[in-house]
Amino acid sequence: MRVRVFSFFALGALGLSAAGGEAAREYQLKAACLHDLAQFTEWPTNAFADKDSPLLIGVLGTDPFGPVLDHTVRGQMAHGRRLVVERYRREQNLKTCHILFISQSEARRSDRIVDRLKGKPVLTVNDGSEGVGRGVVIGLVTERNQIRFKVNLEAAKAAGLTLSSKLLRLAEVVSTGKRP
Amino acid sequence: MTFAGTPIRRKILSAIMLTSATVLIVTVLGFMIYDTVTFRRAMARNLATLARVIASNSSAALAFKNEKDAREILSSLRVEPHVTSAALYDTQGKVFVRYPADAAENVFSGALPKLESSRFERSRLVFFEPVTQNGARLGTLCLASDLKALHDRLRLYASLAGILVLGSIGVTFLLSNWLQKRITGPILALVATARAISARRDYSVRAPKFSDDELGLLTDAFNQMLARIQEQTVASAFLAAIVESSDDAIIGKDLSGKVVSWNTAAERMFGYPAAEMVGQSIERVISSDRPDEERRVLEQAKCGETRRYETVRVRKDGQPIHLSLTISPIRNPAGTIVGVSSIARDITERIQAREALERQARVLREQAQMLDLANVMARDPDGRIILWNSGMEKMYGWSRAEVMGRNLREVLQTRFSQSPEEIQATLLREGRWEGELVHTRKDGQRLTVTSQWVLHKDDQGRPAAVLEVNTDITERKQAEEQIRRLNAELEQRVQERTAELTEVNKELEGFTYSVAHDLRAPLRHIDAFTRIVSEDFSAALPPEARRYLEIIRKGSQNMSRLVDDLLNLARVGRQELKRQLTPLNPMVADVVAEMKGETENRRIEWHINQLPAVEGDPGLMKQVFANLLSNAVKYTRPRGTAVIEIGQRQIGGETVIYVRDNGVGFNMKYAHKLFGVFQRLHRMEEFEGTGVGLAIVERVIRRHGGRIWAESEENHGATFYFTLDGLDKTRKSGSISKP
Repeated sequence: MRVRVFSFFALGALGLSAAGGEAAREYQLKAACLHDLAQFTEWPTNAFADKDSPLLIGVLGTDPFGPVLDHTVRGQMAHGRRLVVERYRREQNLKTCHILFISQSEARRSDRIVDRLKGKPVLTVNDGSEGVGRGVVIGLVTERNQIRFKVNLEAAKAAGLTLSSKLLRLAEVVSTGKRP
Repeated sequence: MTFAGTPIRRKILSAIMLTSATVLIVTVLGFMIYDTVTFRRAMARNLATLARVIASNSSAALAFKNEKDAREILSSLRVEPHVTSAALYDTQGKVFVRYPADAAENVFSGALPKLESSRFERSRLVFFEPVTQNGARLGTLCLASDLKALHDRLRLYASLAGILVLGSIGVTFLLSNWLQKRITGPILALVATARAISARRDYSVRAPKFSDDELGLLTDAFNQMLARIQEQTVASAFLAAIVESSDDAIIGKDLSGKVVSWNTAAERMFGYPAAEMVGQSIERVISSDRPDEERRVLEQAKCGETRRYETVRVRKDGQPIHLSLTISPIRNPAGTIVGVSSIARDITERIQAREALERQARVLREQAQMLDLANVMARDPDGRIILWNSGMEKMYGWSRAEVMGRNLREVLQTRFSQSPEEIQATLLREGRWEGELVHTRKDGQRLTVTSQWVLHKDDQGRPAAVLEVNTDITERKQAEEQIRRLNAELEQRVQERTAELTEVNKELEGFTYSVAHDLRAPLRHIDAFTRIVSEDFSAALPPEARRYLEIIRKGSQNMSRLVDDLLNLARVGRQELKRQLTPLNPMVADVVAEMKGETENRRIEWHINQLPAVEGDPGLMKQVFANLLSNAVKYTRPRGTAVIEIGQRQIGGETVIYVRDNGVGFNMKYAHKLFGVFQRLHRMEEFEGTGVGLAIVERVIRRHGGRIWAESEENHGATFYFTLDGLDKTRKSGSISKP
């Protein structure tokens, strides 16, 4: 059932974004990526208030998804928890979430964001590869109509997160301080 | 060749071979089916494991649409040569990656199942595995494996099974060929024996026995049957000999009257040899004036009846013969009547004898007419009345015409005083018999008659008739009866009188007893007070008075003794006997010991011999010896040395106990008074006594069923003898007279 609902909305999103062209399709894929990353990542148990707490996906800065992300995660579960999307206009508004999508508008401030979230179990996802060398965990890169990952394993370890080896198999591993 | 005609060894062999081949084939087939099923399951399981590994590995590639990675994962299936094709589908059911890369787009047709499942298609096994990550469905993996392994395995099994079945059948053939010989061996031996018997008709042959199983039992039963047949062969030979040697014609016929067997006697009797009669109808020997007789007899025989009758047949030479015929049905072992046997005896002679008898009876009758004064009748040896004169008519009320030819005993309802067989024997032995008979008249009245029988014999000395002369003695009988009744009444009256007298006697005894008992008290008083007077007032009394008192005392003591004795005597008559086996020797010794007071100053020689044990009342028997011995001691007093002997002897075959002394004895003239009450043969002054002692003895002996008597001569001692009932079991009553 869950799969069918998901497929329906995914198709719906696809249809909606058809007019948006290349960019709309790209964010559709990235929204799906965010959903799938939730499946391939393990959070420490103290990351959640209790067993019914939802898994929060935060979007920082200018939201490139529109309604696509909401459609993608509605009714979906990861690790037995509901997926909820929150949006923060600026770094100052940032609250503790589980996945933080840092949009391109905030890419320049990634150092500060990383500092702010230091030691907290937050999977930081950068739209593009710039932040990964500066302590962001995952960078989403678009290559020939496909999404590629760059993963900073040190950052993931510092945040207390465990990434599935199957995910790593698809990713390019980058260390802090190196330019990708 | 049909199966029924196949030899038994082939049958057994075929049965064993067929059974074992079938079992083997069914087993192999079953095993192959089982193995195929389990192998298919194992294949499905292996494929499932493979599918799960591939699906798990490809989840990320599918999630993030990494086609290269997915292809790489699928290409690892190369190591499994049976997996012919595979495909990854995304959540929309679209093919994402295929293996091998050049596989057709629609390598897996049909809708994708939602759950893990497998299905066997024509030549492959297809497996569907959902691809999930953390419970989220990401797509589906399809795997197909060819069934070559399964087919290879089946081919291997089929060839193995073929070799196995062929080998087993070969071994089974050899084994069962060897085993069946143990079963067919005894059967074939039995068959050989049976063949030998039917060929040679030799029933003394016996089949060899090989074992104790059912075949052994069969052999035993076969041998027993042979023994039975052998016996029967002998028995029927005997029977045939008997039939052939019989003087009676014995003829077997079937139910249509056709002759089946015809013995030698029949040849002699009818003049036809067997060859002429067997197969022919019996009608040939039946005279033409009896046309229906044979048919009627056959009908009766068919109903199971046996008939005996006399008839006439015709010999071959045309002479008639009188026959006594016994016709009985012949049954087969199932009980169905299949024929008739006729046993014919030539009775021509008997018929002629009977006719002669009748002629004689006529003569007798004529003679008896002359004897009309007596009551005369005659009968033939069978008891049929052949003569009945007018005296008989008068006496019994039956007329001559009514009784002629009828059985005498039935007509007169004769009752014999002794058994008829005995009478007949006497008659044959002595030619005559006399006795009393009871007859019944025609009007039912009973007559007692004296009957005199005389046996009349024919010329050859055979009994021909019995002449009977009867006299009515009914009245005399009645008179005798009257006398007997009167006698019986008299007897009855005597018995009644005796009973009355016995009763009176008993009362009298009772009376005596009570009187004697009541006399004792006053007597004691007299004695006691006389003694007191004579002792206390002795000085005051004159000598004359003292003497009188002494006489009174003596008298009262005497009377007291007398009363005691009388009481004793009465008691002996009244008290019940307590019989028990008592040895006499110890008893006599006791009595002698108890008499010490009387014998103290005497010289007495005791001769006590061996005495028997008697069945009697010990108390009373002791009284008997006490009284007899005390008498002997008393009456030997004048002798310097008394000799007293006690013993037993046989007198006239009877055991007698005796007590002998050498005392004063008595005159045998008074012997009859010896045992009477108060009878004394000596004066009181000479020998004290009450005259009751011997009366007691006599009564005790009598009550023990014995007798007592005495022998003596004056001054030459006396001997007392007595017998006791049961002292001598062989005693014969009356064989000894009382002396």
